[in-house]
Amino acid sequence: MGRTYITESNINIEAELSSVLKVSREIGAVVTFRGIIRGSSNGKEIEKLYYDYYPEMVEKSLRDMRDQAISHFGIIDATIIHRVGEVKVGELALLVITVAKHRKEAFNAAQWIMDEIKKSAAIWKKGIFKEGGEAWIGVGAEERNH
Amino acid sequence: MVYVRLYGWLSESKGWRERKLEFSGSLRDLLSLIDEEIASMVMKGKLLTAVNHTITKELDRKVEGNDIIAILPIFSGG
Repeated sequence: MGRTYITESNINIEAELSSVLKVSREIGAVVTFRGIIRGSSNGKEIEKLYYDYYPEMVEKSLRDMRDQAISHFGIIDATIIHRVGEVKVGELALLVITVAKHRKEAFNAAQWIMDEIKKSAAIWKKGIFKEGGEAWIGVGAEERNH
Repeated sequence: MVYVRLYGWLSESKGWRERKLEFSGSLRDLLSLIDEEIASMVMKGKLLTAVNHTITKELDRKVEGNDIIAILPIFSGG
């Protein structure tokens, strides 16, 4: 079964992929999106990101996204995992796996889930720079950074 | 007792995560009681509010005992 959760630990991609592939013998398409922490932001070198989160809301919204992706796009299942806390450059911050009979619905559902995470998951990120200093990222955060 | 939580840059900026208050009244009045700047930003749509883990824009709704009110910057996950 596809899973949805947040974690402060590294994500085991192979284990998650193996788990969701066991859901059905009808699976003919698998789309995997891996979001990795970039090494720079606005010309500044990043050391790591810190993700703050609202546990109850995030967990519910990830579950809802999986349910909606299945019902709206006709996929067989989905896994959505978001790292929280500190995540270093190069590490996996987000894993989305969609499985379907055919590629089109798997691609469309993965794209939709990515957009929904940006819009609906109660998560906030802060860049921590190599040269020192830090800055919250996102709408409304810029004017608060110092 | 109501519980008020702040998240993201807002929590860092204000220097607290959660407060417990003896309060019964509208969400609007609660926001003003907590912090006028926060209340103003909510009115302008620069911050979101949630009651018991669900986003709400109904500032006239009543909040009371054991409700959890969260004040949230615009999300930036992913």
